[in-house]
Amino acid sequence: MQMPDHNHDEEALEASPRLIAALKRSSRASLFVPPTVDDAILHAARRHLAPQPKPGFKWLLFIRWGFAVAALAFVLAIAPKFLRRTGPPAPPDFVREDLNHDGQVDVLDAFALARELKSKVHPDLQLDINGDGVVDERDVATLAARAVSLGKGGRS
Amino acid sequence: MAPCEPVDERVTASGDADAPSDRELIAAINAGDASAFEVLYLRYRDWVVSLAFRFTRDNDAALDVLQETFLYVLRKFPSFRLTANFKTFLYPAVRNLSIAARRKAERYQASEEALKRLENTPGPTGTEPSGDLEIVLAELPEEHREVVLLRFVEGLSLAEIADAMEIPLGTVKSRLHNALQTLRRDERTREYFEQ
Repeated sequence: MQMPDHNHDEEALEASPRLIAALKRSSRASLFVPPTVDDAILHAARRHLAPQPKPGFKWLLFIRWGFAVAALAFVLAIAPKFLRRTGPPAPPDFVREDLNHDGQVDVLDAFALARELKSKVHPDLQLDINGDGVVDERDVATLAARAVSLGKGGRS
Repeated sequence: MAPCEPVDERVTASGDADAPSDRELIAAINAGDASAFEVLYLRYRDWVVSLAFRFTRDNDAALDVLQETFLYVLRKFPSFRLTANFKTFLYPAVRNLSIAARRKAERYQASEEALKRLENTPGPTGTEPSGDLEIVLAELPEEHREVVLLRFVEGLSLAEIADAMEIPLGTVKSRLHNALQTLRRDERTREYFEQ
C-alpha cells in the first residue's frame, strides 16, 4: 500500500501566484458604503462606549428626602393643636344631677332617677346623689330637694 | 507553486506598519475609546460588506448585514477578548447574518434546493461574472468557493478557515482540494495551473 505523500497533498492545496493574482482581481470590486451607514454605526459606538455616570452619593436626592421627612415631622408635631381648635365642638359638660341633660336640675331629673331605680337592679353609682355609696330612693329625695332649691333660679 | 502570503493585520488594512494592531485597538475600545472603534470599523468595513455581498447578492442586504455585524461586535465591548484573527471572528457573524437576510428576502422559496440554486446563480445587480475564472468560480458550490477565496484572497490559514467556517480542518482541506481540482480540470481555467 502506497504511503500518503504529504508533500503532494500540500502541493495540491496551493495555487500559483498567477491564479492568486487573478482571484484577487476578480474579488476587488467593492460595494459603495454610504456615509450615512458609517455615521449610524459610529454614532451607536460612541453611545455604547460613553462612560457611565458613577453611582456616587446622590446629595440632591438626600436633601430632598431629608426635607420631606422634616416637613412630615413638623406637620405631625403641630397637627394635634390644630385638630383641637378646629375639631367639632366638645359636648357640653352636664352636672351629675342633670340626668336628662336639659341644662336644668329639676323634678324631671328626680323622676328620671326614679325610673332608673325601677328599671335596673344595679344602677350606675354615678347616680349616688347623696354620696352614701348606694343608689336608692334617698338619692331620688335628695335630687328632688336639690331641684326645688335650684328651682328659684338655679341652672345646672 | 508559491504559498499564500500571511496576513499582516496592520499593513493590509492601512499600509502603515506602525498602525495599531487589532488587539491594541480592541484593548482601547474595551477602555471606552470610540475613536479606536472607528479605526477598527474602517479597517474591516469593506471586507465585511464585500463578504456580505458575496453571500446575499444584494447591495441593500449587504449594507444591512454590515450594520448588524458591527452592532454585534459593539455589543461585545467592554469585555471583548480577541483569541484569533479578527477576520476569523467576523466571518461566521457575517455569514450567519447574510444567510438570515437572504432567507428573509427569499421567504417564499419553498425548498433548500431552490435556495442553493439561488446561491450559485449570479445576482441581478449587474455583477455577473465576466471573466472565465469568475464564471468557473460562480459555478463552484458555495462552500468550495468560500474556502478558495478565504485562502487565496483573504489569506487565512487552513486552521483559521476551519475556525471561521466552524468546520473541521479535514473538511477545509477536502473542499479546497476539490475546488482546485475543478479549476485545474476546467479548460477555461486550466492555464492557471500550467507551468
